[in-house]
Amino acid sequence: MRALPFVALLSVLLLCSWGPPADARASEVGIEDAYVRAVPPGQRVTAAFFVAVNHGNTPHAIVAAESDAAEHTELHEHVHDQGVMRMREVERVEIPAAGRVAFQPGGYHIMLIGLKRALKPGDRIHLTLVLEDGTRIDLEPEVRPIEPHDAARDGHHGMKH
Amino acid sequence: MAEPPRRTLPFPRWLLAGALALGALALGAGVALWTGKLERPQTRYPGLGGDFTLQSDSGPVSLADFRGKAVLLYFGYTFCPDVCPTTLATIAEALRKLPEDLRRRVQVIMVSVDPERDTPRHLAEYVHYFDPHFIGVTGTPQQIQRVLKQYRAIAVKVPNEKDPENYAVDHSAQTYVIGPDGAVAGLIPYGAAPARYVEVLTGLLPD
Repeated sequence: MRALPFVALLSVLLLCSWGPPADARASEVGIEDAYVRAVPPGQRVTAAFFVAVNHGNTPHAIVAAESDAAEHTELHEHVHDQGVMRMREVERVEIPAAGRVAFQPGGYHIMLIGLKRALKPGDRIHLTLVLEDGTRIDLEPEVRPIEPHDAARDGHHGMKH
Repeated sequence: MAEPPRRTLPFPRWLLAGALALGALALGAGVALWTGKLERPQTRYPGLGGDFTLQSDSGPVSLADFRGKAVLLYFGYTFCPDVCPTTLATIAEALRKLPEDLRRRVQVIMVSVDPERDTPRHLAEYVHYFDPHFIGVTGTPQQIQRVLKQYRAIAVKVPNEKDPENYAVDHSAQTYVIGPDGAVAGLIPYGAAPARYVEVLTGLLPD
């Protein structure tokens, strides 16, 4: 049977391209360097930042976030428009296949609204990111002091490259 | 051979020389006047800025109170989770890098663009977190609008339908550098590093 090697090859190819189940795909998105900003006293809002890395070949999206530290949690982005900073809620943030998206000062952030307690450097909060396919990524980001611009721009402490 | 007739000048030489001298003088005077006009304005930003009086937690604060000092003026609001804290932290870091004698000649003032939520008390707590010498001021919406107009800055409330209390405010994010004479001496855009503030303040305040 001359067709046998071909059939075997086809089977191998089919097996290889067999998509992993949804829960296995969760590992495709990794979150690096997650942290939450410390807040001045009496402050009711803060922001969480991280880098989302898509190790897979399919695009993903972050569509929601939840936290025990705040009453509401929203996905926000900043648009710098001719010297004016416009902060807007966004419904989703795409993480392209084999790509990475930084949630960082001046760009995307998770907005924590109605803080239930004061957040001091060194504290940790629970933060869950929800992906479009329902995957939930549980994080325990550390609270960090507010960083000035040059440090913020060049990447954060312990960021993996 | 007869000499060719001498060409006669249209008018005597002395008159020509005089006219040329006069022309040069007029041109010189014109240039002097023109460049003089360019140098004359008090500020590089004519029509921008000016005095104002707003409320801090410890009483009224006027820009005029700080003549002889450099003032860093920033429009922001305490509900701002990202841009304002980053800028204030950057300015605080810049001041820590300045020599003590220079630092004492710099005043940072944050003008609230959210007078509805930012009380003088809360503003004070907020700015003192970054540096105990920072001043936070607010006023009536009309007073704030007037200062925004003076500085050609923008602040627009963005209604939040889901959660009306938690609205955002779009706002100009640059820092105004005001010289010891009270005039705007420069603008530092959002995102500038502490070193930029140090450079501007050092250049502005003579030893």
